[in-house]
Amino acid sequence: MKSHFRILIIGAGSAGISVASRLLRHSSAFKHDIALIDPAEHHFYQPLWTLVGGGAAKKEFSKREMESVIPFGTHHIQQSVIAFDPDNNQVRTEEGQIISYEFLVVAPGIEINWDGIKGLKETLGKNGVCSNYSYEHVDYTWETIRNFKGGKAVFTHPNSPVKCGGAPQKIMYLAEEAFSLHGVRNQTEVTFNSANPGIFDVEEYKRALEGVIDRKQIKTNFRTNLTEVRGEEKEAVFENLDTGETFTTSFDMIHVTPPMRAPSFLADSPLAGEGGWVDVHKHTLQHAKYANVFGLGDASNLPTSKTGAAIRKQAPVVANNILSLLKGSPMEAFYDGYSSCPIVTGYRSLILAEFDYFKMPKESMPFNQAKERQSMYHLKKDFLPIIYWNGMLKGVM
Amino acid sequence: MTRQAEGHEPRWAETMEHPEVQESMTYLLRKLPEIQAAVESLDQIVQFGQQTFQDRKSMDYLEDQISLSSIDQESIEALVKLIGKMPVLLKLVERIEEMATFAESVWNDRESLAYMSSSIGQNTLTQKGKELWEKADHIQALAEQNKDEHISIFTVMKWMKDPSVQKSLRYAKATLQVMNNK
Repeated sequence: MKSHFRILIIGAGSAGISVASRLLRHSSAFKHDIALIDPAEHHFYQPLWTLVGGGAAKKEFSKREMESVIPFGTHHIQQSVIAFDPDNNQVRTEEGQIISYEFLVVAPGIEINWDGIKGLKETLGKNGVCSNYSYEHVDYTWETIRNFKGGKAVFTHPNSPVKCGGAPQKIMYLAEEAFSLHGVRNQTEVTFNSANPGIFDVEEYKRALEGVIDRKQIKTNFRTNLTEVRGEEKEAVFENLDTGETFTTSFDMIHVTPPMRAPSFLADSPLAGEGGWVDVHKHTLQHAKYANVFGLGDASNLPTSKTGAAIRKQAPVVANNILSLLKGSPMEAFYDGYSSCPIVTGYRSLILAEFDYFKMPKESMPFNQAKERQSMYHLKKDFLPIIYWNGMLKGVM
Repeated sequence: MTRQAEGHEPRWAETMEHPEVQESMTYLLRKLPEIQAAVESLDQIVQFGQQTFQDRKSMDYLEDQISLSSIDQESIEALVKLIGKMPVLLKLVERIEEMATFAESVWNDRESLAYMSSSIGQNTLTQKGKELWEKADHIQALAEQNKDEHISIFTVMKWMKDPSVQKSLRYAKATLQVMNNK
């Protein structure tokens, strides 16, 4: 098996595949000289899981065989990386293989820490405890919402970075509307317990979402973090992040957004900066110490929201800057922190939040995107998945 | 007599002792056949150019071809302008190529086509169309059922108060205003 590649990419998620596709589209010289290392057998379009959990989409469309999305001309090494040796331009896999590179792209994504909440793993998928963050359990979210007969419905946002910061509240808005449609809303108390200080970071969208919260009569408890779930007793334990006090609340259903972290093999490596994320320059995406290493996506330390839309803008920057270095030219591609979150507020409404490093709106549409719109809901539900599979992963969008 | 002749080793010999120089020499010696082939082919190209220029008949033929074609001063100027516009054209062509790649990928992606077709089935517009069609059927049935009913001027005046009629009339008024302004 080939053990040296011009471009070695860690992670065959949306970031890794996009970069590989873009490089291959630029020059056939990269053919068979790019490798993607990822142990996964399947590739998932996770943004759809919000709609799956809300009963508005089928989960099967979010899953594809990994081999079907690996760009032609790229090697897929189906192994796990366990160590980086950037001083010698090498990585080591779990099987003991040493793979060397000319350029390294680090994009392994974010790791879900199911063990970060006591009792969660044991009760997930039963006792009204659901989570959209796993393909296996996402159906149970809809099952729980559909069969809900009223009572306390609790939704959480953890005290850690998460993939798509808006997702924990999206499922709550869908559930609230489903409760109304099923005639149980009057007997239901919907609560959002979030570790964040507010509903959203960007002021313009925050105001709009506060309006949604008011209209839907959702109770909010900010700066609270879920620490334990007692499924059998239908109790959840939270801590107040400002006072350190804990309190227990009962629930009839709870949707848990689990804490997330940098993958351990990355966090313990010389490539990691604070928090274990890949330490890259916020505009060029080049590693702070190793010039032939780049990082992007959820595993990077970029101070912006971790979303697929952010990756869509980061991938061309990484590809173009690698090409510049190969040509001996200065790097000119520049990432401005763009990120986007299509916040579903109901079955036919969505606020399309788009913003940059400065938390300033950076909108693509010729209208006010802070307004809930049906057209934007259809963009998310009907068009973005198609654009993802056929545009983003092909390196053209 | 030079100092070298007095017993000192010549400087080039010292240089030859460096391992990296020896390595380079070995590399060059190994590459000599390839270098020779490259020089030969370059020489052939130069010779071809020289002979073509000296070949009067070939040059006359080329000149005839150019004079018979539509290439003139304007064409040369256009070519220069076109070269100037190449960066913009390249961007445009790349965009078109990306769109074509995307369209081709969607066309060949059965799963995406199936998803789109199921989305169209659930689409609000389709649903609204269906609802409208059902309403039209219902209206027709109701009209048929009440075909002997007499509609008086008082009934019409009563309709005027209906919110739907009022809304339609407001639209009609706004339309007339816009038309008159134009």
